[in-house]
Amino acid sequence: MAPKVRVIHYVNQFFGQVGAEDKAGARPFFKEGPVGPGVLLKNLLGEKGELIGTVICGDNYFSDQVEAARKEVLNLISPYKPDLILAGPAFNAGRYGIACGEVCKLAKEELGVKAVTGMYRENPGVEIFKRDAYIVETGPSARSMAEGLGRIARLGLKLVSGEPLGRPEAEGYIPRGIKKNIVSENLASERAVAALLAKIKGEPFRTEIRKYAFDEVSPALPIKDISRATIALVTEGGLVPRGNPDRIEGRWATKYSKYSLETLTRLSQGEFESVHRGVDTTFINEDPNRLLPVDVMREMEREGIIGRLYPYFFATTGCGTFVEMSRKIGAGIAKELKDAGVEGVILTAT
Amino acid sequence: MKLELGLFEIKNVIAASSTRIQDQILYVNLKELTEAIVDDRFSKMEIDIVHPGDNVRIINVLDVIEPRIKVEGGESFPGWVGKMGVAGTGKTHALKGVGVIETGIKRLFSGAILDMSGPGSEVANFSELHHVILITEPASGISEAEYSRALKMAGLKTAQYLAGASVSLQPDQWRIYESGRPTEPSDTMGLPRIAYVYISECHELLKEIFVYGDNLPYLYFPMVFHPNEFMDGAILGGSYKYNPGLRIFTYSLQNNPVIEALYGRHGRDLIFTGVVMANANLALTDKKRSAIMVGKLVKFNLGADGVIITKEGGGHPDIDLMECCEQCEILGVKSCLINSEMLAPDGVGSAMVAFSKFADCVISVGNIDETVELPPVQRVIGGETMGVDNFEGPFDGPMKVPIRMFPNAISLAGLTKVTTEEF
Repeated sequence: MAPKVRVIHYVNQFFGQVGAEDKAGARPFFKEGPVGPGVLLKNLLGEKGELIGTVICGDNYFSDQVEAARKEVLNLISPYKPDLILAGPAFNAGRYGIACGEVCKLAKEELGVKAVTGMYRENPGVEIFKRDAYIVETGPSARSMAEGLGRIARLGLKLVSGEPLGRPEAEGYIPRGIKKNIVSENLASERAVAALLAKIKGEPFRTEIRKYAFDEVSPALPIKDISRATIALVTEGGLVPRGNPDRIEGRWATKYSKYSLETLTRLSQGEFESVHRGVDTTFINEDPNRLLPVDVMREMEREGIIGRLYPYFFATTGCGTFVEMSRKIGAGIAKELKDAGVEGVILTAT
Repeated sequence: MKLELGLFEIKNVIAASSTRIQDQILYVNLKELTEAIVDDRFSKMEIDIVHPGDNVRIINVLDVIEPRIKVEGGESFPGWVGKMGVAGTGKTHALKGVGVIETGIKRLFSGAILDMSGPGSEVANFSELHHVILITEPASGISEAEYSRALKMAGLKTAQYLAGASVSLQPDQWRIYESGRPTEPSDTMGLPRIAYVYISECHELLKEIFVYGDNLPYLYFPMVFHPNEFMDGAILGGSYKYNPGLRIFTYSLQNNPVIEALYGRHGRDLIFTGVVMANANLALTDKKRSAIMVGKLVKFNLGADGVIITKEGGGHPDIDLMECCEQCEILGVKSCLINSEMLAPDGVGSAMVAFSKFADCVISVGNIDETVELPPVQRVIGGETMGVDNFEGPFDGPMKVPIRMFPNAISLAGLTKVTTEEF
């Protein structure tokens, strides 16, 4: 028989039988075996799991001293080497939900063990932690304790077993905002026609890609005196020294590089090339200054229109890159420019 | 316009001494076929046959074509192998269950990977076909664009040659594509009138779409097609350098699933009023001009109440998709869009680079970035190297490949069952 899964349960001061709101400042402590709802949880785990102990902490302490609370909880849990951490359920209690979410997150990040909690769908902890933790759906109050704990125990044991999980509704957890490819019953075209007819009739239809918001970046303040400013050139046009020494990808780039312009008055054909896979690069490769206007910038530098051309340019490839990777690349370039005291940047695109 | 498509269900394809169809088996004389497609733009032309379930990986897949031949009232692939003439009328034979694959390697080409068994075959519906594969190399001095045209011609001639075996036979089934020109609401029996907007990404050589034998010019204005023209070989894929997951293969144009689905309900749940084809242009003004013309054609020329919009290509055509959606919705035409998602390998990214507030009904054909782990295979067809995208051999070993590398797994035309679900 497989060894029992070692489980630690996290609860707040109320369910941990310390006290009500007046004890919400209680610091975390460990108690062996089940406490409060843990008695039921122990039964639900049955032969498969063993509830080693319970960590109890006041909700206020956790929300006021998040870093300290995380550290203390971690120190309390780690000596017991659990396989699984179960928290709550927190129902619709906001602070308790956030504490449960944090505990699950640290289980994953610091201890590398599986963790499950439970909350009411509208608990603010859901939005904050749904990606870091499996959160099973419960009712708003402790009346749904038995059902919630049942789901938590079942999902927790399944996660530890390594058995593949089914869909969120089947497993009882709240979708985590992680999309996976699946094979549907019908062709996309058939689903589209059905959805459109429903939309026209005013019947319910389901969109498969929900709208999301884009970042809005407010522009930096104007440069006070451009004739004294250091200006840099940055391109997403995949411009690299011939041979692409850093192997910047022609599309779906995962990196950027910087290359010296120090001794150059212009870019020469053959010395630089574009590896961009989304455009016809013929004209860029004939004269790379068409993409990255080093020639013009040097003129402006000579004429005193700009203070100085920053002696490196940055390049990546903007083609098929998903938004999050673009953001990471952009932030990296921006930081290097800022650290180097660059005041202005010209971004050239394909 | 009326097109009668005679369907032959083919259960197997076997090399033989004479080309014929017998008991739903297509026998192919490979020598005769090779002679029929000879072209001095190739330095190598070999033909192979693979079957669903084979322990085989095909690499450098550039296009897939369904074998078809016009038997009455028109031309096969007009402007290419046939004389110039309108497609979409008369009688055409199609061999169902068979694909013709063009493969080739050249610097700018972006070939797909097709596994005929295992996990790769579970997502790529082209794995369900018997394939006749053209394995080619270009003659020296042949440019990428010239090579792509030689490949297209060889692929189409092969498709016509294979379907030619059916000419004197009776098809298993006739499928009729017929739609008229409803002008008044009374013509439509109170059913909603639905149009289809097909957004191509046609910019330059190797990133192009062929219409009646020539590529469309960049910045072409939106135009109305009859759906039958799509289903009868007037419009063919030519994006040899575009990533497989972002391009639409000829097979999916010949079997355009949106047109198929709209015809499937035509006269019953809806009236199919026609197709508008528009380009995903590069400059924003050009995108907006194209979108207002699309909206105008859909609403005032086709008189549609609703529209399905698909696009080809990656990031920036999302803007065209959204602009067209907005212009239709502003005119009171309800829209449903089909698109893929760029969610990063772990599935947590933002799906698109643009999103209109009007886009409340979007169908997903999957996350192009998710990877699929492929086991080793016994045999690799289509070359020893792959053109681009940092894939290095050996290709018979295990591979971890984004789903966008499989032909038609992510089908922007909608000819796929792959979609995403939130976990």
